Amino acid sequence: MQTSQGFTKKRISMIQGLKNKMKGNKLHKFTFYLLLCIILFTQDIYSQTADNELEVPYLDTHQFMTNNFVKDPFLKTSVRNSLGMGKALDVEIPLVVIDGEELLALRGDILFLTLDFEYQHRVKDWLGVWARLLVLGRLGSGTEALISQGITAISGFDLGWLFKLHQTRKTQLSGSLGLTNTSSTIVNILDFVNGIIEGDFSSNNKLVRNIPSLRANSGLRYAWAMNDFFGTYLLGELNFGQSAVERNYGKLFYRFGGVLDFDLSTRTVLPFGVALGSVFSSLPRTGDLTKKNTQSFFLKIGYNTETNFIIGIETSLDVIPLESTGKSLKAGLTTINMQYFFH
Amino acid sequence: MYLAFSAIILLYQAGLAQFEIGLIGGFSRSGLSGDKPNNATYTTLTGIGIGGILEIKISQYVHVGIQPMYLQRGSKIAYKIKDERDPVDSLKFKINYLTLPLMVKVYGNNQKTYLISGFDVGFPTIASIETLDGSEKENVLDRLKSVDVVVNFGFGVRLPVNQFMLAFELRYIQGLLNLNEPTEGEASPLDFIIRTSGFQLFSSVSLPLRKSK
Repeated sequence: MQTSQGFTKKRISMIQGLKNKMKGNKLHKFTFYLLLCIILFTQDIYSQTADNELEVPYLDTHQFMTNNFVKDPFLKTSVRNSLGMGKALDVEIPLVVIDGEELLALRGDILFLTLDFEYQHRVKDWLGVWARLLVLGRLGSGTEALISQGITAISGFDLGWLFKLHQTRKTQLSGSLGLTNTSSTIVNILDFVNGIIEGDFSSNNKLVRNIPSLRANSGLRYAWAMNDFFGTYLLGELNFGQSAVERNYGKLFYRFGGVLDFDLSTRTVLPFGVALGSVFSSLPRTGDLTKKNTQSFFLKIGYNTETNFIIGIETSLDVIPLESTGKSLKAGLTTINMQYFFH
Repeated sequence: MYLAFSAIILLYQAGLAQFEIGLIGGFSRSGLSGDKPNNATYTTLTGIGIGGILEIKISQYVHVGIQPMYLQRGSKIAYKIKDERDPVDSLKFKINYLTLPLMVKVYGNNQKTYLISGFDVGFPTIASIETLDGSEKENVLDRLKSVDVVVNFGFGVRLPVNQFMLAFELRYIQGLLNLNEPTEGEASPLDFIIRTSGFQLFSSVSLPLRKSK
C-alpha cells in the first residue's frame, strides 16, 4: 500500500509542475489533460501491479523474513548483500602453558568482519542457481589478543543449485547441491614463537599459512506458513571436504537450523518481520578450529512492507568451543542485510 | 563405473526421448588454485578442447548428455623477480586430458538460453612443465593423480540453423580433487594442494536425430 501511496504523491507533484508550466496556453492545456489521462491510466495499472505482485518470499498469506543463517527454500531471483561486524569480548587467552599448566593468561577481544554477496537466479519454477562471494576477517583487537589469536582472513565463493521438491499451499520443501571454495590466510604469531622456543626452525613452522579448501554440500530446506502472522523454516545440510582453517583429506560436516518467523505487519502497525532462530553446526563460520559443535542464536528484524525489497538488521551470538584454549568463545555479530527480489 | 552409469542413463531414456549428436570445440582458459611454490603465483593458460556430443532430451526443458573430449588445461607459473614490480610468467604447466563430461542442460521458456552443469571426469595423458619458449621440458605425469574430477557451471545460447542446432556456451570449472600425488618418499599430498579452475568457451553443432513433423 505504501508503494502505491508514494507513487500517487510523485504523480501529484508531477501534475502540479506541469500545470504551472503550461498556464494560459490552450494547446498546452490540451496536452496537459492528455498527459493527465495517460498518467492516471498508467498509475492505475502500476498500482494494481504493485499491490498484487509480491516478489518477496511468501506462502499462502504469510510473508517470510529471510536471513543469513537458515537458508530459505524459495526459488526467487534475488540479489543479497550483507555487511557485518562483531566482537568476542573478554576472551581468556592462555599465553604461557607449561606441562599443561596455565602459567600466564591474558584477556583480550577478538574482532570479526564479514561481507557476503549473493545472487540467486530462478531458472524454472522448480530450479534455481546461486553464486555467492564471502569474505571473513578475524583478528585480535588488542596487543595480547593479536599475539595469541593472530589474524585470519577467509575469502571464497559458493555455487549451487536449488530444486523444489514438494509444495503445498502452506509448505515448501527444496533440496540444494552446492560447492564452496575458500582460501584462508592465517597469521599465528604465538604458535610461530612457541615453535622457535621449542627449537623448530623448519619450514613447517610458519608465521603465515595459506589453506585452500573445498567442500561439496547437499541439504534440505523446508518452510511452513502456519497463518499470516506465524511461519517457520528449517534447514539440514551436510558438507564434505576441508574446513577453512585445517588441512585434511576431507571430513563430513553438518549443519541444522530452525527459524520462528513472525510477520508483525499483519497484526500490528509495525512494518516489520522478525526471524528468531538457532543453528547447530560442526563447521564454525568464524574460521575457528573447534572440538565440539558450535551453536548460533540469531534475531533478524527487517522492514518488510515493500513488495520486492527487504532491509534488516541481524544480530547473533555464536558459541564456539575453541580447540586452542579448550574454552568457549562467545562472539556477538551484527549485520546489515539488503535483499532485492526481481520480477 | 562412471561410463556404465552414463550409458545406463542414456539407454534408459533412449526409448522415451530424442537423441542429438554433434561436435563441440572451443577454448579453455584455466589455472591452478591452492598452494603455490615460494615467490610464485599462478596465471591462466589457454588451451583448446575438441570432442563429440551425445545428448538426450528427457523433458521439454531438460537435456542430458555426454561430451567425450580431448582437452588442454594447466597454468602458467609466474615468479617474483628482483627489480620487477609484478611476477613474471616463467613456466608453463600443461596437462592434456581425455575427459568425459556428463552434463545436464536446463532450457529457459524460450528454448534458446540454457544453464548447463555437470561433472567432468578427466584422465591426464600428457603432463609437463616447460619454460615459456619450450627450450626445457620435464614430464610430470607420474606426479599427478590418474583421474581428475571437475564440476562445471555455465550458461549458453542455442540457435537453429537449418536442421542443425548451433550453440555457444561459457562454463566455469572447478576441480574437486587434489592433483598432486607425490612420488614415494616425498611429503604428504596435503602439504601441497592444487586444483584446476578456470573458464571454458565452447561452441557446438548438433543434429537432432528425430525427424521434425
